[in-house]
Amino acid sequence: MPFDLGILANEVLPLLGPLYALGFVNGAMLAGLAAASIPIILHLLNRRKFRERSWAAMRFLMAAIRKNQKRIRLEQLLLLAIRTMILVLIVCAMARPILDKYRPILPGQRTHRVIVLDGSLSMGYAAADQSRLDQAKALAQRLVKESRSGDSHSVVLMGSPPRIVVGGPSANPTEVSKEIGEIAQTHEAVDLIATFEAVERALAASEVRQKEVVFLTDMQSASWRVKPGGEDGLKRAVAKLEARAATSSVIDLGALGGNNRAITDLSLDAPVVTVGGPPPIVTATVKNFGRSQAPGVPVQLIVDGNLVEKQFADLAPGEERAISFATGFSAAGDHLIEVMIDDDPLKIDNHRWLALPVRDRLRVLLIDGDRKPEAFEAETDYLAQALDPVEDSSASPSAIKVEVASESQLRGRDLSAYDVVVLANVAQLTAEESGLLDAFLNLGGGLVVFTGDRVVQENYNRVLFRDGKGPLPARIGPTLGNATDTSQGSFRFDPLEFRHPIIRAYQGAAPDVVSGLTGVKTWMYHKLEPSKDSSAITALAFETGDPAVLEMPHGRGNVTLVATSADAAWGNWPLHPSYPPVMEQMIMRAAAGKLAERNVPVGQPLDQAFAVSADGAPVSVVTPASRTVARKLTADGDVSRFHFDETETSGAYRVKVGPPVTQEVLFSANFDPAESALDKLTEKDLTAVVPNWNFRYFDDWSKLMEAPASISKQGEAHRPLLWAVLVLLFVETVLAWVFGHHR
Amino acid sequence: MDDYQKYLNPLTLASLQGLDLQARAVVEGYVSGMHKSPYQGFSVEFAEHREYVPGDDVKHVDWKVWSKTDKLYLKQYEEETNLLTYLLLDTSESMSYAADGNVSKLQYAQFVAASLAYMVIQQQDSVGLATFDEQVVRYLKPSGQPSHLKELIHIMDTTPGRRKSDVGMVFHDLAERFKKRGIVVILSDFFDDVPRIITGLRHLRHRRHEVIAFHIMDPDELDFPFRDPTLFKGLEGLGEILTEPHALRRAYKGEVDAFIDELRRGCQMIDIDYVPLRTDRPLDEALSGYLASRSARVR
Repeated sequence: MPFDLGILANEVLPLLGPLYALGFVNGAMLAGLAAASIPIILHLLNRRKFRERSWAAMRFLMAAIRKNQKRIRLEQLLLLAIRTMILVLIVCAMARPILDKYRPILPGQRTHRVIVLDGSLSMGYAAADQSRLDQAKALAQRLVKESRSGDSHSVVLMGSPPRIVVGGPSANPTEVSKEIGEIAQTHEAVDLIATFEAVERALAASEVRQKEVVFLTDMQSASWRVKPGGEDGLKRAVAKLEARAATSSVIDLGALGGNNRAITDLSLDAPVVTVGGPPPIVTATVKNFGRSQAPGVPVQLIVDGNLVEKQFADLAPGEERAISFATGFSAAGDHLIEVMIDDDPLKIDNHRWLALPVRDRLRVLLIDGDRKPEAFEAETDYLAQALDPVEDSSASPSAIKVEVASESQLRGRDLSAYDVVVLANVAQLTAEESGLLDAFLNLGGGLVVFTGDRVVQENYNRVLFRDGKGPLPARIGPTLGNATDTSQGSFRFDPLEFRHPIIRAYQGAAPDVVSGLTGVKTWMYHKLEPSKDSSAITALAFETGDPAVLEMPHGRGNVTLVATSADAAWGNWPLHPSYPPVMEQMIMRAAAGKLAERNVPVGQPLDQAFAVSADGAPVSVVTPASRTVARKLTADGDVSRFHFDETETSGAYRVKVGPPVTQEVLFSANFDPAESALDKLTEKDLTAVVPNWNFRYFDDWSKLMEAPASISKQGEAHRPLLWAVLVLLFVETVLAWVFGHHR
Repeated sequence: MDDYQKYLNPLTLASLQGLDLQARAVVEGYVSGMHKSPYQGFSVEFAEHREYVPGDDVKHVDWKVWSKTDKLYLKQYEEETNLLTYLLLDTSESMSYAADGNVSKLQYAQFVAASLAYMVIQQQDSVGLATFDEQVVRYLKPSGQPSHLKELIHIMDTTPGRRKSDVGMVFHDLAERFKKRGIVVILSDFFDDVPRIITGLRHLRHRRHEVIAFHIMDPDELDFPFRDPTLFKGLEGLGEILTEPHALRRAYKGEVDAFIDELRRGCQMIDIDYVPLRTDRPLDEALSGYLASRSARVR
């Protein structure tokens, strides 16, 4: 049982500032400090015990004393101090002092050891046959094997999120070693705060007083960092860990090589891809993280397992380059796009995937609030024509299929059959209709709302806006302008530098083309008033500064609110050439919600909503490692939800749902590109990143492989003390000889 | 003869009873080691004749001249130089110091003084004695009579050392007392201020005396070999000091060396023979020093 000088530690040491708190294993031995008085007593006794001698040559003796008294006294005090110090150090060494910062693991006591393995992507770096993770696992197994009888172990895998591999501390080394051996390389980044919290939870699971945490990591900068604003969270997590009085060690698994290339991004230029639509542009971003030139890096586009195109890129050190491919899809359904480059020591980041649902056509339901039989008199006539211009023609079908219904028909429709619902000058909505729209948005549907003369502001604000909690991006305010007397003036659009995707096509376009948008005259509009904390984005504004088009995500879908009418009643936009393309983009973006979240970062769950009727349906997930995992859909409000969080590996996840609803959905998980940068932290850096964390740092992991127990012995100060005794003995001998014999 | 030489060792000499016997042993031991009698140089030699006048001792009449010339002439010899030697013996308290197993400085000085006196009288010269501490304690005028030696030795033997020395003052006093010039042999530890000592010696030299300064020191006083903490009780009333001698050895020897060096240089400046003597060394060194000085005086 260690003897703590509690009062000393609590009251005196804080006054000493940065000095480390001190404890003693054999505190009773400190009674031996009384022995420090022996040299002093001997000195005093010696002064009492002397010879007497009659002396004639006193004049010389007195002169010598007069000139050397100070020096002699100093020499005597110095020797006395050294002799006293020797005894003090010997007694202290016998008491076995411990520096709290480096509190060692003491033999004879049970230890709960939490082994934390860095499971992040960079640990897959393998300069030779063995990856960093393999090294970490081997060393962890050695630690477990060499542990003392009675010690228990927990194992935590650093990741995002971290995983407690062995939670309840196990006293069975064979079992723990087996668990460690089965740990697979993840492709994740590291959630540092969550990792410290997980370690603290693992420590809390045991009543064993003596605790030790051993981190095995490559010290990659990207892994050991907190997101901006997370510093306080990390401090709290570290403080909780420190409160467990555990001895922390960080074992650096060696230098990372400099050569690494990675695909850091893979994207499409269209929010929605349809069979009949234009072939999307697939853009892969390739980066050379190394310090040397990477000539002729082959970049391959693979669609559904088939090589489609191969390009070569010369990459200078640190250079990032976008490689674009154009590819069409002839069949609707989920397609897997993969881009890969050739192998390097870190293979995991040489691939990137994109799960792409290709639609035959987008289905759009237009709810017309002012339906009239005459052509271009109804509220949605222009819109329907813009979105599906080939209706009633012999040309190839548009990517969008439009259905028009009256507002009374909204309640009877199965909205799950549509990608986007458009409300055009609908007077008002019931709570039931609003609920339908909420459910539709929760399934990832898109909602576009046009105002008009029939819109009842109060109803919209109460039913759809709900003080910012509903799907409507803004409160519907009063109307501005006069649609009946256009001579009173009009409002023109401010394209806001064409930043928003729905009008980005006009960026850099010829003036006559741009005037197709900026020349639009709006006689009348509703002033839209977003709430203060709204996430709504203004896609297009009026010159007055008021928003013309607002866009906001809601649920799993997107909502677009247009301040004016969809027809030509409040303006001449439907008559301008900009109307069809902007409307098409608006619908495409609204529909993107339903197709989104098929591609997630590794470690983030796969989440998909199905109609409520699918509740309880079985789901099987085939992971990139070809492992099949069974799940079930669960009820979540007005939808059935698929949730899968075992996405630690990058690649394609194939999900089969049903019966009763039979459906196959493709997902992809991709690594955090920050993990590809192999910059390392030093011990000092780590101290700065994780402040107030007392840890010991070991950078020679190969030596630790030979003597893993040495990790635990750090912090015992008796060996340095004994060395100091040896040095002092030597110094005392030399000084005594110099002072005594060399006179 | 070899048996006599062992008496040059002060310790052996101390085992003999009686200073007169000790002196004789020293001189005989010393002379036997020289292989040549010092007396040869002192034979009486013929100088010239002079006419007899009534009253002259007839034993000096040169009868060979009378037989040839019928005139009485006396053989006239070169008159023998009757050397005076003054022995100055320091009997102050500091002279009583003796290292363990050694003779005291005073004892050693007595050996030397007695031996010299013996030798001087053997050479038919005259020798006087003065003992002193802070003043002249006893003074015996020079004489060449063999019986004078006994008196000298008696004074030396019975003079106790109890007081502190004032060498400089004593030398001034004696310089005034010594009417005839001669050889002044000083036997002392000279524990006094060197400038005062030199001033006194200069006074003696001013009276045209040849001066030999035998500086007698105990080996303890020169080497300071002590290790244990020691309470040094000063002789001549110089107080007490408790100290660790080993820590002071170098400094102490520095002081002693400086003192000796100053004394030696002072003596050299006024043409005085300075002879350092350690009480653990044979006595012949002292006798050699004396004889070297005497022969210079005779020439």
